[in-house]
Amino acid sequence: MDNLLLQKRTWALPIRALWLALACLFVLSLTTAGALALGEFGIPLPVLLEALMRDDGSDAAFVIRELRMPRLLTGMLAGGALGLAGAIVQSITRNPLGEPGLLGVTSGAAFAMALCMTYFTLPTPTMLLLSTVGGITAALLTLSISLGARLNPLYLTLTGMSVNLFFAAAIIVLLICANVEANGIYYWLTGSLINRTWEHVHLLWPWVIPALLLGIIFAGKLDLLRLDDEVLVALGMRVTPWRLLFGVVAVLLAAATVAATGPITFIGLVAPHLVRFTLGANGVRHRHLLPLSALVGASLVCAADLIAKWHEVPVGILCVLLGGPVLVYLISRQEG
Amino acid sequence: MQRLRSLLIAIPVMTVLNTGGVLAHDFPLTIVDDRNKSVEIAQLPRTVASISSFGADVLVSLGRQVDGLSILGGQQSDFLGGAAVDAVNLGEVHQTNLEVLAQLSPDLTIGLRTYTEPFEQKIEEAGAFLAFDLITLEDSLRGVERATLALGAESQGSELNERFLNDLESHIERAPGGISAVFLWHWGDVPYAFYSHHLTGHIMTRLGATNIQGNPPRGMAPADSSAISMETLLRLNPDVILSFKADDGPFVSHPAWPRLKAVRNNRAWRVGDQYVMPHGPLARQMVLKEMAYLLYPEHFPAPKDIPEPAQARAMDFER
Repeated sequence: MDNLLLQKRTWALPIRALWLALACLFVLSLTTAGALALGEFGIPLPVLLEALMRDDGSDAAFVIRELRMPRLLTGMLAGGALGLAGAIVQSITRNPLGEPGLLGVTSGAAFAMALCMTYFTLPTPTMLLLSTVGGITAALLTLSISLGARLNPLYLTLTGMSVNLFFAAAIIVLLICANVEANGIYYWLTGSLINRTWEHVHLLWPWVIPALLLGIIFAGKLDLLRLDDEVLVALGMRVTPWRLLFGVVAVLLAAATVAATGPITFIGLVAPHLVRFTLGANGVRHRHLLPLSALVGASLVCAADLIAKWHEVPVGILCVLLGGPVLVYLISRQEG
Repeated sequence: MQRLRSLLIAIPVMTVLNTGGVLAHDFPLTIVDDRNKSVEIAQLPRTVASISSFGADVLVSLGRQVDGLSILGGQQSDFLGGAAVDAVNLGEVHQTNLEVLAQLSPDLTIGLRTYTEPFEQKIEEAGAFLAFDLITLEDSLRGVERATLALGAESQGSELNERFLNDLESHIERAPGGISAVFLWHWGDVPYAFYSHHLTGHIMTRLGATNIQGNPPRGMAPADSSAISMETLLRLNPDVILSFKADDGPFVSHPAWPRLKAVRNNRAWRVGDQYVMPHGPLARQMVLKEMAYLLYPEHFPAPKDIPEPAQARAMDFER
C-alpha cells in the first residue's frame, strides 16, 4: 500500500508540475501577445508581424523592437530572476518568509542606484553595473558577517534583516539630504518597467540563464540543505560552501534585477509559495521548484506590467495586488 | 511752525509705515490663506521669510529685500538673479530649518502648503504665516494678491496681476498657434509631464500650443504632473519639448529621443526652475516671454531680462 502511494505521489508531482508549467507558458504567451500588441501606438496585426520579422526603420518597427520587446523581456527576466532567487533564499535560510531582500541585496542595490541617480550623471550601463555592485556589496556584508556562524540560517536571516534595514535607512537619509523629488524616487522604489531598453535586457540575461542552469544542475544539493546542519554534517556534506554558493547566485540575480527594474519585492516571496501550494506538497524537489518559481515569477511580472501599462502605475504595486490574493486563496485552500 | 514740525515728524513715520501705498492704519488685517485659515497680520511686516521662491519673487517684485529664503537642490532659484543673496538660508524647500527660522524670527513667512504642512505650527510660532497652494493661474493671482496685501502693497499686487494678464493677452494675440509641446521633469529614466492646469501648462495652451499631456483625469487628485512613457511621447511627438532637469545620462540616452521631432529639429530645451514654480510675478513673466519665444521664435524675440543661468538652453544628447 505504501509503495503504491509512493508511486502515485512520484507520478502525480511531475504531472502537476507539468500542468503548472503549461499554465505559466499560456499566461506568458498571452501577456507576450498583449505586451507587443497593446500600447499607445495603434499597430495593426500585419504591421506588427512585419515589424517582428524585420526592421524597416518605421515608427511601428521601432516601437515593437526597441520599446515593447525590451520592456517585455526585462519583465520576464526580472520576474524569473526574482522567483528563482526567492526559492533559493527560502531554501538556504530555511525561512518560508525568505526573499532576496532578506540578504540585504535589494536595499543595497536600491541605495547604490538612488545614490547614482541623485548625485551623478552616468550612462545607463554604468548605473546598472554600480547598482548591481551595491547589491552584491550589501549581500557580501551579510554573508561575511554570517560566515562566523557557518551561515547558520537564523543568524543569516537576522544579519540580512539588519543589513537590509541599514541600507533602507541610508536611502531615507539620502532622500532627506538630497532634495529628491518624492514622486520620482517612490515610483522607482516600487519597481517599474517603464522605458526599459535592450541595455536592461543585456544586464539581466547573463545572470538569469546561467543561474537557472546552475540551480537545476545542483538542485539536489538545495534539497539536502533543507535538513538540519547536524544531519548534513553526519551525511558528510560541506554545508557552508554550498550555502555560500547558492547565496551568491541569489544575490547576483536579485542585484541585477533591482538595478534593471527597481525593487519589485513581492515576487521573490510569493512565486515559490505559489509553486508549493499549487503542487500541493511541501516536499517539492528543487529541480521542479526552481524552474517553476522562475516561470511563475515571470508570468506574474508580465501580467502585472500589462495592466500597469494602462496608466503607467509602478509594476511592483500591481505584483502585490495580483500575487497577494492568489497566495491568500491558495493558503486558505490548503488550510481547508 | 507747529505745522512744519508735525510734517517733519510725519514724513519719516509715513515712510516707514507706508510701503507700497498702504497706510499704517490698514493694519492689523486678516488674510485667509489656502489652508482656509484666518491669519492676522498685526502690523506691517519688517522681516519676511520665504519658503519656496514665491515669497521671494513677490518681495523682489515690490523692491523689498528677502530676509530668509529656502533653497532648491542646494541653491537659490537662478531666476531671482542674485536679488536674495543676502537672505538667511532656511534650508531645502521641503525641510525648512526651523532653528534658523526661529532665530530669524520673521514677522511674516510666506510658504507653499505642500512643503510646510508638517511643521506649520512651528512656523507660526515664529510669526504670521501664509501658506499657499500654487499650481494654477488663479492660485498665482490669488497668492500675489494676498501676499502683497500682507506686505502692505495691495495696489502694487493688483498692478502686477493686471500687468501679467495684459501681457498674457498681448502674447496670445500675437501667437500663431498650431504647435504641440510638453513640459517635462524626470527622475532617473522616468519622465513626468505637467498637466495643463499647472500654470506653465496653462501659459502653453493659452499661447496656442497643444499640451500633449492635457488635463488630469477626472476624479484624480490635482497632481501637477504624471509619468509618461517614451512610447506615449513618441506617439504624441510634440514639436517642442521643455524640460526641467534634462541632461542626466539614463534619461537622454533612451533610444526614442533621436526619433522625436523636437529633438531632430533642435527644439528640446532645458529650462530653469521658474517653470516648475512659475507663480510669482517675476517667474510667470519670464516663463511667458521665454516660452513664447521657444514656441514661436519667428514671432517673439528672445527675452533679454532673464538671468543667464535661468535661461533655456538646448538639451544635451551627447552623453
